[in-house]
Amino acid sequence: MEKLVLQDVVKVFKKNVGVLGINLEVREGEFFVILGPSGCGKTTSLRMIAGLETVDSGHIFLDEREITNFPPKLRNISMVFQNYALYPFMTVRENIIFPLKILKMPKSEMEEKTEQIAKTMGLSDLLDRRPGEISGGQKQRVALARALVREPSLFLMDEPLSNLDAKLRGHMRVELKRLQKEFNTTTVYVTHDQIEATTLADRACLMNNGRIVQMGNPNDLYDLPVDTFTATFLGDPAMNILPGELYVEKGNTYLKIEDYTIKMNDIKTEMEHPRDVKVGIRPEEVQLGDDGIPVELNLVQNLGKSIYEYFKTKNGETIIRQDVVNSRHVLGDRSMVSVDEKSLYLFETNTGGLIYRYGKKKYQEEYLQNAIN
Amino acid sequence: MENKLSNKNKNASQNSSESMYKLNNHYKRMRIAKRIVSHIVLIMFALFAVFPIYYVVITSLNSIGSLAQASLGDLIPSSHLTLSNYIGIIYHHPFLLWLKNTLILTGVSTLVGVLLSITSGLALSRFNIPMKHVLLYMMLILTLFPFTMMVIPYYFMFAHLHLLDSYIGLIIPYSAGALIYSSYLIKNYVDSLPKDYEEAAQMDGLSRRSALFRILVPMSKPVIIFALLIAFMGPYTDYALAGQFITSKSLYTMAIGLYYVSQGDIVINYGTYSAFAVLMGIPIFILFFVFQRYLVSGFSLSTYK
Repeated sequence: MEKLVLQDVVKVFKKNVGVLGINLEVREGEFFVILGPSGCGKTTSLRMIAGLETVDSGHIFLDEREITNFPPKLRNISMVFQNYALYPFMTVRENIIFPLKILKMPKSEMEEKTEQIAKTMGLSDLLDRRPGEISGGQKQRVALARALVREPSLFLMDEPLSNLDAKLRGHMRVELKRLQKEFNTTTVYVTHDQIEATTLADRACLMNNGRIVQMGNPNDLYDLPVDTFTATFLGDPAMNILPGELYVEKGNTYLKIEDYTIKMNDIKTEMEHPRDVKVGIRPEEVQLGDDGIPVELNLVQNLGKSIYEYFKTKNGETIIRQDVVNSRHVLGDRSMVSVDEKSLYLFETNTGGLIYRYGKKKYQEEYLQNAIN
Repeated sequence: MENKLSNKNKNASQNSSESMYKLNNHYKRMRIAKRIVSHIVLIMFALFAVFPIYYVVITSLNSIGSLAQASLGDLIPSSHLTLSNYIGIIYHHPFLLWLKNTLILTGVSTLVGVLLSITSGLALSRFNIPMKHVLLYMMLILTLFPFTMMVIPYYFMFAHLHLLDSYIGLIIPYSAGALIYSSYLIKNYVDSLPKDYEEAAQMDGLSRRSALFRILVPMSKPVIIFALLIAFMGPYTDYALAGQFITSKSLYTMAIGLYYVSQGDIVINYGTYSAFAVLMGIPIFILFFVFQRYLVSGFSLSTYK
């Protein structure tokens, strides 16, 4: 069942991009992540769902009820803010109980619920402290407790982990997922961090310049990016993108990258003229071999558990390769990057749209059809 | 050859470490010297600030008839010290009535003024008012005019309204007195509070207005207390307006009382004058002492961290 529906939602700003008509459906109990670079409109979208931002056009439905113009307090949506926004003059207990007080719940029930959620969140010992006296991770848990205590219809989170240090963030990711499964509250989560998106999301959408670029489960976004934006946004380090040329000779299709040519057995086409394409290869798929694109090792970045090798091609393109730590390569080493048709992606040069991915015929047929005409 | 070179290096490094040591000591001495000079300067200024207060206190405890009889020796506490000036004020004049009048006037106008400056400060900070920056500049310009300049216009105004010689006639201009400055102060403070707090409160189920009052007002406590003190000080010490408006003795404020009691037959009675000044200063002293903590953060506009 659709819990939350956004229909052609538009928000226009004078200075920024805003949101240029997004459509999405979030299902009951789902953990939905809106992912995107800063300024893509993801936070604005979330704020429109919350009611903190007015909607210029379009419709928002929650539980099959239109709430587009409802004030926030009537939406039964709760939200966790990036800086937690705990009321500094109240104790942790008062913070958690605050939404229940507004609901004018009987006192005994309020206290029972507060105690219970504090127990779930591991906050029982902190109830009488003030937000200024607890750590970042604890504040985060108080903010979650305050948001979940009144059992909202929808739960929104705006980059809730970005103020935590790396270790705590990893811990809270696990915790968040566990809590969401436990409370089974439909959640919309905004982040610019692809790791949060892939680890937390049941489904995710990627936004850019006020539009949704791609929607699906996180693995699909990673495996089958619809264009170079998605391809380079997901994955760290980002996918290598090189210029290449696709041409047909004697019924066989070939891909030429700099001086190196490989035969593309998977592409059957009859196009007459060579086409410029963008070739994408994930750093973890880059193989060194006897035959391939000649490169020189330029820089090595050590990450502890693996290393990133930055190769430079003859034309000055950079290829990043992920390798094991004890690789013997030395700066200035010359080698060959071999390319396998099964691991590469082809994108259209102008639009960046996906043309080819091994085993996925749909894209290439559409494109090559257009290319012939 | 190699030995020689290493010896040379050794010497050089020794030399440099010696000179570094000297330089380091030099900076240490400089730091101490700077501290001494700055303390001397600060103590001098502190003397200038504290001397008048001492002068008033010591004069209030002396029984000198007039300024002509006063000598430098009176500045040193001696066995001549007496409380007669204080006793005179409290027992021979309706001091408590004046105190009551002052507290009523000051209290009501402080409350009204601060409530208005909270609402206007919040509005100026959080609402999109057309031409807001023009309005703010105008407000700033208005604060540049001295309060005493308005005494005569106010007199005409309130004479027409038949509000002279009454509490209400003073409460209205008093409330407006620090209003502009306080609104501006509160606006600046609220500007520094992230919007997330009131938005969180709205998500928790409050309307926008209740979110502003129930969340932002408690969070602005330091600046509101600062505004309270400013609003208190003006009416409490005002003589210019009260002196013109009030004619009935039963409505005298302390400032008028101060003038009244210190006027002797021929000369100004400095002992009484000083004693009155000390009595008037005590409540202010207590207030500032109690709210000291907030004053610093209110004035520096520092917010919750």
